[in-house]
Order: sequence, then structure tokens, then C-alpha cells
Amino acid sequence: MRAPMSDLLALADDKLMLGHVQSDWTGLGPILEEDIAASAMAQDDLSHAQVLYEHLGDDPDELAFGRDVTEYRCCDLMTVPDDFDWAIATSRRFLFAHFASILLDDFAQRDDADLAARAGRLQAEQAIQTTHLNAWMVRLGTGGDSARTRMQSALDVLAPHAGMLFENIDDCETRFKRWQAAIAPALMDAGLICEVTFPDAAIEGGRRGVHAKHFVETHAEMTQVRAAEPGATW
Amino acid sequence: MYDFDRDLPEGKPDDAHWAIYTRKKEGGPARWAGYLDAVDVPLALQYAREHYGQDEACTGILIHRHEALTDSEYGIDPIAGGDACGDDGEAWIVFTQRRRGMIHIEAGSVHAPDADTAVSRARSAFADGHISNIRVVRDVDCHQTSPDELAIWRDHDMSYKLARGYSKNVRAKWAQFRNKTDFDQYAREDIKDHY
Repeated sequence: MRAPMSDLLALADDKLMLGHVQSDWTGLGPILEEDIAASAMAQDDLSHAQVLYEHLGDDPDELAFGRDVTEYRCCDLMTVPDDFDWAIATSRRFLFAHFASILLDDFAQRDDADLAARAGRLQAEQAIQTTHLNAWMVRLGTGGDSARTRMQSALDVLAPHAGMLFENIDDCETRFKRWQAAIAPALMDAGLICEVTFPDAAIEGGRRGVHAKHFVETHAEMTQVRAAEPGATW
Repeated sequence: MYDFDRDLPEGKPDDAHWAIYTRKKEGGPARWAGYLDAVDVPLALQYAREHYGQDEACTGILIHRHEALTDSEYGIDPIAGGDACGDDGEAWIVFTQRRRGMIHIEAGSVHAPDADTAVSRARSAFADGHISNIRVVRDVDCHQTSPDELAIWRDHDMSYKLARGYSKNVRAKWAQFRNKTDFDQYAREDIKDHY
């Protein structure tokens, strides 16, 4: 394993958990084409996690499934239960996609040629996600009272968790501002409000291995095959 | 749990059918790729890029509503050439199919005041004795991705998306797994809960 880079492992773990959680929706998306698109993006997130894990170590599976709960650096925004409410699933992906874009843009500028190349490969796919999710935030935010109310409720649920994306990562304050600027246009067009505050350093969350119950449960489910059959290969 | 009545309150929100064509090379013809459903042009283009533009080399996409197309009759024999000429009316994009079962490929365009005339003029211009079907769509009904659009086409290894889950090797592993007593335990505890 290379020298630990907190924000790199953080992004890889975020993508792993989001890809896993979002995959629950496969076959249940509100319309067929969106079901396919969202499933493809969940698959992309899992693939992106793999690409980043490959940079961090020789065995991506070991990193993905073989660690203790406290060794994961993902933000627990990823595992907040959506109870199959599409508004929460979409809002979560929207908030995270812009965060991921910012980190990938930064990684693509790093001196580490391997990391820069990997991030460069992922940037285009990440751009698909942000474009797609911007469009859906606006569609749903302006799609009538019922849709707007549900989207606003979803953002209200997620906002307290979203700030924790910036817990304990490099340049967190600058990146927080960039992220706020990135999500603002779509939210404004959508007529939605998402007030996220920068996290108090005293509050320890997923980025420091202190995870919520819903993360622990999701992790247990995700790793159960591995636990039943250690070292299994495909 | 998922609530269809709540999430799809009225009608069928995705009931417009779109025909999708992809261009493999810059300036090359648009080639039939498939269908999708979407409520409007931006969403249809978005899904077209995602579903058809990413898994193979692709430089652009053309879409139109399924209802916007007019096909010549489908016959066993190739279509004979025609002698309809004229360039009045609006522009129509012409797609031709070499043989039944093959895809429609953009051949060019004609001008015509209506669909039937467009088919006739397309026959004169493009039927060369080797075409089984002609399709025309008004140019204004066709929507395309712009060439200067952000290059979103996937350009890296997509092999992780291929369905390789049932190779002989993997089937053997599944069989091995199922034969273990662990699986019986798993089936008792887990599958019973769900089914």
C-alpha cells in the first residue's frame, strides 16, 4: 500500500459505498431509461472505486471488502437509508457527484503520474454524472408541487450529512467553497435550497473511521459473501 | 418501500418513443442504433448519449420521434429507382436499408413538400437496385448532439461492463459453492426471508 492519502481513500470508499447502495435500485427506477442510466452510473462508481484502489494497493478486493469498519474513510452520507425514495437517491447522487468532480479534477493535476492518469480517465464519466444529475434536480425541482416538496424534503434530510464530505480531507475549506459554487446553479434553477454548513472539527465522522449504524449494517451486507468465502475469486 | 402510485402519479411519463442513430466517424453517416423512451428532446438526447454513445466509438448522435418517420413499403425485392424530381418544400433526411434485417443508414437529404413526395424523390436519388427500404424524416424533426459538445464518449476499457458472469469457469465455481453445506444454511436463513 502506498503512503496513505486521506482524500484519495475517502473518494474511493465513497464511490464503493454509493455504488453498492445505489445498485439496490436496479429494476426499480421510476422510468425504464432512468433505471438503466442510474444502474450504469452505480456500476461506474464501483468501477471508479476499483481504479482508485488499484492505485492504492495491489489487491482492490482486499481494500473494498477486507477492511474493518473503522478503516473505511467514506462519508456516511453514502449510506443514509433512502427507503426507496427516489428523491433521496437522486439528491444524494447530485451532492456527491459534484464533490467527486472536484476531487478528480485535483487528482488529475497531481505530480503522481499514475494517479493523474487514472483521475483523467474518470473525469469524463464523472462529468456525465454531474450533467445528468443537474438536469434531474432541475426537472424534479420544477416538476410540480409534489415533486418539488419531495426533493426539498430529501435535501433537508441529506444536508446535515453532506457537510461531512469535507471532514478531514486536504484543502477542505477551499474545496467546500468550490463545491458550494458547483451545486448552486442547478439548485437555483430547480428552486431548491440546500444549506450545508462546514463541519465542526470536533465532530468525528466517517472520514475518521467513526461510522453510523447504517454504514455498519450496509458494510456487513456488502461483505457477507467475502466473509462466507474468504479469498473467493471470480 | 417503492410506491408506484406515488412515484408515477398519472399517465405514462416516458411514452414518447425515439429512434436513435450514431455516427462512428466525424462527418460519417448516422447509423441506426436503437430505440428509447423519453418525454422530451433534452432527455432523449441525454439518454441516447448514455445508452448508445458510450459503449462503442461514437462521434455524434441523431434522434427523432418514432412517429416522425415515413418508411417506403417493405418488399422482398430491392426497390426500383424512380424519376420523381424537384427541390421544392422543406428538407428531409433520407435513411436507406440495404437488405431487410439490416440497419438503416443515413444516405443524404432531399427537399419535398410532404412525406410521400420525399420518399419518391429519395427513391430517385438513392435507390440503386440494392435498397430494400427508404425512410425519410423531416430535417426539423431530427435532433443531434453538437460536435463541440464535451467529449463524453467513454474512451477507456469498458470490459468490466461486459456480461461475463456465466463463463464455464464461473459456473463451475457456482456449482462448487452450492454443493457446500454453507449454502444450505444460507438458503435456510436468507432466501426463506425473502421468498
